[in-house]
Amino acid sequence: MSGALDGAVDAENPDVESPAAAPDMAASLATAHAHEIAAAVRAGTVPARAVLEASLARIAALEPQVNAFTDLTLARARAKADAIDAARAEGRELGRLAGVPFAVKNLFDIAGLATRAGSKINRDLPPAQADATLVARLEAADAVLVGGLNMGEYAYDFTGENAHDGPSRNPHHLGHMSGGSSGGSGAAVAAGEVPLALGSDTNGSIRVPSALCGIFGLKPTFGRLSRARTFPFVSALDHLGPFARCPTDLALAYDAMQGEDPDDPSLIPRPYAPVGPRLGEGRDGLRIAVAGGYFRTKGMPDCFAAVDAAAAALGADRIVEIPEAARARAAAYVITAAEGAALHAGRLSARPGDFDPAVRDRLIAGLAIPAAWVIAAQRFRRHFRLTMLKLFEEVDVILAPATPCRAPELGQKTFVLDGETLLVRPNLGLFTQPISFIGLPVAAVPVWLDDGLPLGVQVIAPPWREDLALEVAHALAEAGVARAPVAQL
Amino acid sequence: MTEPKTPLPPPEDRDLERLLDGATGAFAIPMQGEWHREAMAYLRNVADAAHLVMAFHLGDEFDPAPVYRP
Repeated sequence: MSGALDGAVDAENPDVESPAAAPDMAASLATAHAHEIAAAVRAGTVPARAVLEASLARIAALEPQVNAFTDLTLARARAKADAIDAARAEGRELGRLAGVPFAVKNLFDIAGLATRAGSKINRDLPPAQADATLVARLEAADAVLVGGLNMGEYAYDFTGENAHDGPSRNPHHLGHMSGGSSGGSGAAVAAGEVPLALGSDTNGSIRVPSALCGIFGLKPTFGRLSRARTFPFVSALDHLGPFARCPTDLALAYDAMQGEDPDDPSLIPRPYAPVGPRLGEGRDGLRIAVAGGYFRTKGMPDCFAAVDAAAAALGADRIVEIPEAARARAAAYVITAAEGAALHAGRLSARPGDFDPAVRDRLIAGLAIPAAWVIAAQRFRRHFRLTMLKLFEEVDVILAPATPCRAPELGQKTFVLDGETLLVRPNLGLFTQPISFIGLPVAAVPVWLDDGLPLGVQVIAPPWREDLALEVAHALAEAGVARAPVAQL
Repeated sequence: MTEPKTPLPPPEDRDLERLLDGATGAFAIPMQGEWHREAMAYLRNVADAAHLVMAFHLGDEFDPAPVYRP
């Protein structure tokens, strides 16, 4: 199976090759955070073009191993970087993300490319006419798009494996899963190929790869960020959000992406609420609790130890029960199966052999779901939301594991949790699904217990309180409990 | 919000087989043998999840969560 980058081309100019950047420059910029790059570019210390070339050099060097990218937009990226440097030379003020290379899960529209959404079938679509709103917003802040990222087919995945493009590999151990479905997003950031990436999260697809790849991720409140011009999976549950190696960069990207958008009818109008300027002001008085019950079973001991390490650093010794979490996960499972299947019914009929088999068979099953099951799940969704809002009268933030284990090996089909053998693919998200079911904002925080692979902790906040989730993530990073080192490759 | 007095029984495999066969016929899916076996396994999982959800009694006046907003 060939690597994704084998077919990755510069959409505008396929003959242009990436010139090698100086190795020292590439290495230092690979470890730089987005906010550090932006500060340097805005100050004129480093040209945006140099940052870009360092990023492209690292991508070229690492992609044969990592396989995070499916498309590169070299000419576009170079034109943008040069425009930023020209603006700087003319004395114009640059955006908050000036010169920051970023890449997006390939379900985001990129003008000029077919939006493949991890599939073979979508490659036959005409090229997108315009960028996804979130891509345009990051570029409006002077970030530099460098390409599209590998993902599980049609986002129905927690592993990062893909039958068409090959798996995105975990940069901290190439024989292990990146997590999915935003596997390329997690892998590209963990590998230091880009400091910032975007992905989607329907049931855990930002939080799972963040955990397995040892980076930070933000799944905002449902309806908070525009989904315009992205390929859907389950409209009732889809969220978009950023990946980075520190909470400051998540906040920077999140702030740049907020705003109303008439092109997304599901966007819920909210006032602009920037998080970045207040990040680090402190968490004094925050009532932080650890999720018990459902969130302390069906997991390897390590995943609970990671939560306990975070709780200890925060001085959080309270345990709260999230009632009916198992039923919430079940309801999310039903809605996902039915709505995902409905979206692809035509393709399943016309081109069933062109699907990833692991995805096709699940979608076919979804076509057989009675409407009564889905309506019952949606009714339970309202009940569970009310239950959680009541719980948030007692606490401000809840900590829970992101995944039940460290990154499984590539190709691993089952694991044993609490003595029960379970399929990996649907069960890596058993701790994330109940939370996204009602759209709560979550910061995924990487915790390293030892020299092995990382684990993730969900920092869960009430609706629209991304600031609380990011503040706690920031506190954990400051305490040294959470960190996202660039993988040594 | 209590458990219903007479919860529905979980669907039998043979009933799920009928659902699957009906759906693949209705949606004109050209099924192959292996696909059917895998899809049945997934449908069994979904049915078990749905049974758990439907066993929770919400009464008759609890609206589904909204998605569409005029």
